[in-house]
Amino acid sequence: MNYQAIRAAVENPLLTAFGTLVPAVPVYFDNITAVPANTTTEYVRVNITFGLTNDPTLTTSVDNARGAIIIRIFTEKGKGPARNQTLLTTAVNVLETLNNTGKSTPGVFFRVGSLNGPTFSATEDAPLFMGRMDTSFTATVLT
Amino acid sequence: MATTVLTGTSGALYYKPAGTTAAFGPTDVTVAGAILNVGSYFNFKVGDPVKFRVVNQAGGTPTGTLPAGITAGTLYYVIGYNAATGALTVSATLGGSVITITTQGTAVSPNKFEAYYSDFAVVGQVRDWSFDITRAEIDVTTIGQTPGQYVPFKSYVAGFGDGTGSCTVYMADDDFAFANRMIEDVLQRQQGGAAFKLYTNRIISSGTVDETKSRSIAMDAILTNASMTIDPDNAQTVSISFRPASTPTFDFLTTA
Repeated sequence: MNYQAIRAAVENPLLTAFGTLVPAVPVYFDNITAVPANTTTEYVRVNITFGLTNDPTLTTSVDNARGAIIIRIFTEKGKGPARNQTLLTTAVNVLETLNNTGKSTPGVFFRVGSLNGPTFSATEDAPLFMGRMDTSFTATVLT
Repeated sequence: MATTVLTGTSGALYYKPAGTTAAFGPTDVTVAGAILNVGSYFNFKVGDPVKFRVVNQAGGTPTGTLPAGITAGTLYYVIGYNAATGALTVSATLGGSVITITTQGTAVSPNKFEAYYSDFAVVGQVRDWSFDITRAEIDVTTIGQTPGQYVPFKSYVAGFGDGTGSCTVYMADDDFAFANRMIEDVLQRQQGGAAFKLYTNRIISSGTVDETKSRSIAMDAILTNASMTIDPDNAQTVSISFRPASTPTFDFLTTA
């Protein structure tokens, strides 16, 4: 199992997609400090969690990585959801492109499941409006 | 002392591939090149461990002599098999050079030489297996019984035995995975040699299966069905059904 390669398979295209926007939108992955509190600058937070990563058999086990991707988009509050939805579309396009990628060898074969969301929230305290979506994924590392 | 139950995790499935038992005669042996014409469209693969013996196809005591250079019960490895022509070549070592044969051997009908898969091999990608055995019921009730307080009851005796089995295997990203071969074997026309050994409790000792302490069910079998499920969320699995070709052997004792 190669968790690094699986994580890179989804993080790299997201980073590239948001980085090519004008202006570029920063993406913060797991264990990376996001922008300071109370900022009004838009950004993206991506969390990847692993769930079942193998399938046990009677005598050994076979690798079959599964997990979840959670994408949260933070945009300026009080200006409607349009900008947030635009950025969410960028994320959705990246995930759907992953599903259109054929299997190669070696490499990581990545498939996401149904996309849940987006759901929006604009709490009274936070200075940013948040759009959230998540999906499951399965990944195979081919060597 | 408390009794310990067996758990499914101590089980295992071992298998001998279909189409790996082939009979041939002395005239099928070509001394030059040590080519054994065992018949076409069997299922020998390069690297298969095989052994040889003399068999009496009428069921009597086998008589005959294997070709000089081949020893009964000795392990050889397939290094080539041409399914169209039936030409089999073997080596004394895995991936080694072809053995040397100096005679065609002798075997008078109904005796034949037989090449067979040497032993059960573990199938590593088996998620589960199941096995059912049943007996037919034969109704032997006689009519005309004298009525009493209660209704006459039917009488039965047990008839023929039968069985079915199934297992679920993961399709592995490995061309040579034994589970993948089992899937292909469903459509192998000549299934002679196919056999299952279903361990309910497999005990490993010094890296090998301790047959004395293990519990198992062994049988020659025919493969009857393979059903695949492929979806985006799960590992690819195949459900394989089989049926004993003869009476299964139960070994549930852990005493010699």
